[in-house]
Amino acid sequence: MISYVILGIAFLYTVSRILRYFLRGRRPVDREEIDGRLLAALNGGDRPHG
Amino acid sequence: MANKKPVVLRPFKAPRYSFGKLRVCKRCGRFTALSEERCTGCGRAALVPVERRAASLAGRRMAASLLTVALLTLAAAYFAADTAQRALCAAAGLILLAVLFAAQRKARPAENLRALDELLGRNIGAVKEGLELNRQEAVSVLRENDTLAYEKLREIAVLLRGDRVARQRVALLHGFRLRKDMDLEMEQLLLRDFEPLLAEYIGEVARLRRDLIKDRTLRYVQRYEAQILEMKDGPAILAAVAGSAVRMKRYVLLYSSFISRYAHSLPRDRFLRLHQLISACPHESWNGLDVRTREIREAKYRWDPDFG
Repeated sequence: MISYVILGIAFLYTVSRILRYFLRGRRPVDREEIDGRLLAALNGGDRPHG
Repeated sequence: MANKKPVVLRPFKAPRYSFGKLRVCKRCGRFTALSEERCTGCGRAALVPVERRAASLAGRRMAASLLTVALLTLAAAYFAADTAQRALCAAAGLILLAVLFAAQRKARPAENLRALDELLGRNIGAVKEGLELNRQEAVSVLRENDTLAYEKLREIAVLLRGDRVARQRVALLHGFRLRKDMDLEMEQLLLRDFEPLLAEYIGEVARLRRDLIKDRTLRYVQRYEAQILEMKDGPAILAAVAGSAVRMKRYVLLYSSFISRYAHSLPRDRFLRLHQLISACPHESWNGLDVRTREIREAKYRWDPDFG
């Protein structure tokens, strides 16, 4: 019985991981976004002007 | 020009994304934008690009998930009552592992980027600190080797785009004899306020590399036109910038009044270009520039066959 419980836990864990990948994949972060966020954090309020 | 130093700057190509310049030490976690081989913090050769570090962290997290499922499978098999149950647990565990592995392979590129976002977001303080140390390092070599200091600041400027680094770069560039074949920059060096050294640099760039004079530079020059005019070579700088602007019809239309004010000082080739642009599109609204051009043509180039 205990082995089925552990197997159930393994199953739920796997499903949670896959679900997480799936949900994250639906709202992926792209490089432009990361770049923009990094530059804004580093130069916040001190962006180039002209 | 006489006091300017001839220099050879190493070629520089800014990465497509600013984080492409950033590396992190695997040992001590210090960030750097410079291209040193060893970490200045711990002295080890453990610097890796942040993207690679993030991919390795994402891979490690995925491996930990696989390991968890494998351990749970082993535990399930260990506690099985008989051989049939053990076989069933092992088979089910293997299927779970295979499915998880396939899902991870598919999700890997997105997870790598998410790990990069998290790595930078979580360590933004360390990134700032690392870049500040880089800047101090560049400033510290300024007296002995200004070319090296400039090259370092140029690398840091990919990430730090504020006035402080730009001002230091402009000051260093002022001491260099600029050449056409150099990796010159323009828009990255523009400051919020007026800086005579920057105005001089703009004038030199306008003479050497017209293609670098774009919208933001033209707006800067227009904004500080009065201050530039007060400089010793101010009118020449403004004429050079106006000469650069006439390379594109869009700029001529947008900055027609500015060009109009310096049209009389344009060299012949630039004035010819302006004349040809206006003649090709007589129905555009040139905001009086067409009239001004006609007047100058009459006064200076009346007998020139190219202006026919």
